[in-house]
Amino acid sequence: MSNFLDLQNGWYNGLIQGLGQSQDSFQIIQPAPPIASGTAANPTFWAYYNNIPPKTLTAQFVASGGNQFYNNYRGLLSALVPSRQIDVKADIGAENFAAWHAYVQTQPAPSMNQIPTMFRNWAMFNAPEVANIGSSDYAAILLDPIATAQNELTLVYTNEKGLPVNFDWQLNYADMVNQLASAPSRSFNFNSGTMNKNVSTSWAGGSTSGFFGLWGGSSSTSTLSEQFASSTVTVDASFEHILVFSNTPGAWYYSSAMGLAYANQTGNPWSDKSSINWNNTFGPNGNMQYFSANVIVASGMSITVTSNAKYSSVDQQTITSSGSSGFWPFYSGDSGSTSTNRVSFNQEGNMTITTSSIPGVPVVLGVNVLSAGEFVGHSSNLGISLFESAKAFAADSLAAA
Amino acid sequence: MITTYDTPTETMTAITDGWYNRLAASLNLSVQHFQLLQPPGVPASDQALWDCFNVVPPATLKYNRWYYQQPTFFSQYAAVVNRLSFPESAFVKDIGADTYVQWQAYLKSISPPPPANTLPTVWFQWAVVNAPSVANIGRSDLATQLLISGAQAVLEPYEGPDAIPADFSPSFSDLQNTLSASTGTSFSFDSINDDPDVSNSWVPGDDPNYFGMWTGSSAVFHISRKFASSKITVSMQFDHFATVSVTPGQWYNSALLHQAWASQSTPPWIDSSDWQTYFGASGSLTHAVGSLLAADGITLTLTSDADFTQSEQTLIKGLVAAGDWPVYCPITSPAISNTISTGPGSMTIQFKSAPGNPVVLGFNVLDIRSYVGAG
Repeated sequence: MSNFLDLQNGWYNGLIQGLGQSQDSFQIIQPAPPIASGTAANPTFWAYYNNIPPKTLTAQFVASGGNQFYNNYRGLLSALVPSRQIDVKADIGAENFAAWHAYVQTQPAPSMNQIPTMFRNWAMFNAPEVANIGSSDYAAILLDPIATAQNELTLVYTNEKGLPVNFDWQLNYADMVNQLASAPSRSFNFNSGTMNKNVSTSWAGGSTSGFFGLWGGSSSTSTLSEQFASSTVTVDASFEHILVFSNTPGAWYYSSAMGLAYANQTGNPWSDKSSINWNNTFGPNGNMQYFSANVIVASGMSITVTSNAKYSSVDQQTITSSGSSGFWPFYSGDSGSTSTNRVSFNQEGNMTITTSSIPGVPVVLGVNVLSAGEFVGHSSNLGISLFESAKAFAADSLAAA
Repeated sequence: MITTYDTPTETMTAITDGWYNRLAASLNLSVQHFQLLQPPGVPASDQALWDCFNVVPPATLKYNRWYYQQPTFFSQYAAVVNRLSFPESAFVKDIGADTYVQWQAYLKSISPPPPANTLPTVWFQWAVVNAPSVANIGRSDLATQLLISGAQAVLEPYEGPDAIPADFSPSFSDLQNTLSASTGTSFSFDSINDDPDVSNSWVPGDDPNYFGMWTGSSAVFHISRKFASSKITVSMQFDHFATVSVTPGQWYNSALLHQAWASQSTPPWIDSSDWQTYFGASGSLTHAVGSLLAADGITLTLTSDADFTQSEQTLIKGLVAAGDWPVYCPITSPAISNTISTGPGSMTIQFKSAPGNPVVLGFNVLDIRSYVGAG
């Protein structure tokens, strides 16, 4: 017989399957707070990505604005040093360097990315034996991921007085609303008789918090919640539009720099002068252990839940009168502006719960949460391969480019 | 002879704990975080709203703002940041004295001088040509210095004479907008079958309710104890309510606070005993407000069957503007009203707040470890 936790876990599995989500990363947000349009819609929406989430399957997302990705990233980048020092003068020889240096002074000020080609063209005639290594050195200097990331952050996201500028994400609230309007519909069914209640392999391993019973505010171990959970529960869910909204940080974020920091627990690129280190960033006490990669939003939500238990008239009264904060599985209450959530009983005392949301009004269902390792995963590969290719730079490919 | 030791505040504490549980259960609030605010905040401006939650909350389920004298969150955050030391720039050492002299000469030739945020770029453009082997370490040093000094400097306008006030999100209008898009609810409380057990909450121990029947009265007053021992019913209705997360403004840097919390040593601390001052068991920054609970359009009807004497009834009605249990909201604006009618063995109190006037009823409190993200 199922208890309420089983039912909640079964619903979690049913929901992620129904929405085509991964068990490795889905997090249910409940109760889902409305995103009110208005002056602060972007910061409110971006907060879903910028506030670092707690480790739970059912987070009360509004927990805090105390731990923020952007701030932490700025702190992280103050604790990193460039990947390696490239000694151009030693590689091409002091005499060649002096001659090249004199040549550059005579040219119109070159842009940064012209330097490797310019050196190669000069060296072909003046110092052909070091044309490749010198050009490769200059390319590696330009491509250094740490120094580049720090430079971008300070140039664009720091003002002329040296103060930090507000963060942004690539896509904003209006982009999300527009995409949602043309997003596909989806529907799915869930039956507690055939549900999979095992969440031990999910990302939070079944640790749950912020978790209620049959109606918002009731205990999950109350008699009625237990009766509900042990009955056969079916869910028919349909969404007019549902969208997994991927977003990436604005230009302040340089994924390969963070990838390198994550990939190396000690030594380079960590500066030994900073008290910010791998352990207090990515470790168990760290401030960047998880990231919200996507927000799952829906509109035109319609959900019907049935329970085949026989509820006495007293129970029916208790449930009906207690439900102003909403019923399982979405504890959003009855509201004229965002959604309705109601309960009814048939003559046999079986219960039906219906939840619907106003068409066109976005409801946040969940967030894809990634661990730091997953979040930087492909990025660190990219950063390392960029760096490797910079080191192994072949002048020919640049000249051809 | 048997002597019974009665804690004078215990009857008021018991019904208030029962109310706490009822409110938490009805509004989906976690008893691991929720805290009642006494009196509640009735802000009418950004500043009034921020003043209400710019605070290091005490470890209590019943934050009596007359009793607990708490420092502001801003003051403690600023104190922590000002007690941190930051690594000196290694720029000169890393690029070498000779290069530094040349760079300074070049820099002086630029008119007007480059703004702070472009300095690493200006350096890099110069150094790729003139000192390529230290071009990257140099721009990294300059950028790092900018990141570190920026995190500190961003706090400066908020300190000292002519300080600008510390801002937060939400603003007052954000809070109004969120509330108007949020759901309403209604629930009731009855002292006959309430649950005063808070042993599973985040403050399970001795945690008295200091106010009595009305705001500013003592829980040990005879009238308060008579009230608390009576049969009390409350019927509560909110047109809207919402739990809204609280985010400090630009002056706040979560990385700095985390860095301070995560390392007890020097550096980052200037003095090794400072960590205890702020984050130790009796430190001044052990908790923070994660989110607030606000309601709009409140209608509260309370009944009590306490057998108040005629003079007690006169006193209670005379102090109607102080506001009464359980919300303890003084009548300080036309948007708020409180009325009391009494008869023999029956009293009815009706408290109302007009729509469009958010009332901040409580906070969700996080310990500092969770606040900075360490779980």
